[in-house]
Amino acid sequence: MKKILLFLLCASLIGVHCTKDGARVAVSETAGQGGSLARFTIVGNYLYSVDHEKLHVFDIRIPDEPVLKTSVQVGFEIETIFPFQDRLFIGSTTRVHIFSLADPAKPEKLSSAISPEVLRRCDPVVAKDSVAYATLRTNGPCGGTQSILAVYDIRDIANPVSVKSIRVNEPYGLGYSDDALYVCDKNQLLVFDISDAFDPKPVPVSISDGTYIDVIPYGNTLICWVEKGIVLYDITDNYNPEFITAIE
Amino acid sequence: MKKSLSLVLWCLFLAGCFEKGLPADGKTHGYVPVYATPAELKQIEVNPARPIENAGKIYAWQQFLFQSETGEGIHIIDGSDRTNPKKKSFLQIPGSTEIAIKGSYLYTNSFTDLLVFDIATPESPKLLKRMEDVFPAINQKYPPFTGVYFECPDPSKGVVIRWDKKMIENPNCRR
Repeated sequence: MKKILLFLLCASLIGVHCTKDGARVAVSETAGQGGSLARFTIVGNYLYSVDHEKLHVFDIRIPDEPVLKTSVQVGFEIETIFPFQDRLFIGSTTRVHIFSLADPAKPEKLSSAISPEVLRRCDPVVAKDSVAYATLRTNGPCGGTQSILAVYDIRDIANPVSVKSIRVNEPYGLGYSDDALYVCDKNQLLVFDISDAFDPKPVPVSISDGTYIDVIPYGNTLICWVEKGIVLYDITDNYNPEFITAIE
Repeated sequence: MKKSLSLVLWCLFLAGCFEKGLPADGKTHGYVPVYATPAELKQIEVNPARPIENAGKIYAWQQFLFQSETGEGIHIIDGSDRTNPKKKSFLQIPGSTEIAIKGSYLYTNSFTDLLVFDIATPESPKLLKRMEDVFPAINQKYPPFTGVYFECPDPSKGVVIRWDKKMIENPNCRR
């Protein structure tokens, strides 16, 4: 019985999907930069925060007097938020919700799916111009058969199209710097050449200085959150991160 | 009477979700509530730098790096010399997991509250504002899982701040 229920639960998740957050986005000049697994993000004069079900919008025009403008019900198992252009991508374990920030105090839902047929758990996504990259891993209870790096064409934001899937092991956060995409894949940091955005090509480097969880490309430094703390790489050559130091 | 009968039925129903009972020695994996007193929940301090133990989310701002010590606070790291980053201090914030910064203001969470710090002097942040009860509280009655045993929470011990998985003996609660 339990198995049947689990099957039904999994089946109900099929057909949904996901995406999530990116680090490099159009945030205000004076805001800092978070990773792809963040639940807080600042765009202009607003702080956006997601809990497991809701999006909270705080007006921070007076920085030390935040005003809660609205709390919007988004869905279930919300995990991440990332801003891209004038939109918020809110990732959950089963799908991505895309909100418009045309009125930044009152985000409005544009769509709630980035691909019609991803069978797997969803994880973080980063968006860049007309493309979004998501890591979908399968170690959850309703995982698919293979973890992938998914590539979506988001030229029509209301109707994203899955254009490519690349097999990876156990991916978490991701981020990009120019034409290099960095993907945390458990004990490896993977690098992809995304000069052809819809067709990422693996760069043959071997980087394994920890258990990687998330990344922030920050100028010519790649900041990696690893299980033991932080590892920094020089990415002056984007495709060839060079170890600088670890912070524990 | 009716109430207690329905409670019994409910318990039987829940019990049906378990394929087998407790092992003979009464030991099983289960969840144990971790408590904090209301005063502990709000104890904000700037402490000396300490090792990163439970590495959490990262954030970059100007020449500084921030890493959450999940549920406990934020490590503040001066990265001006990236070949030799220096942990400057540890900002203790119970229940903190998130970081966002604009201008010289740092926003974070502390359980159900939103906090704003002045980080004009990054190594010694000052709490400017606490907005209470804007985020949902952790469930005080049971862990966020089903089909599990757990130690029944005792509200007299304080507020449940998390549930740790442990080997427990003869647990009286399950869901």
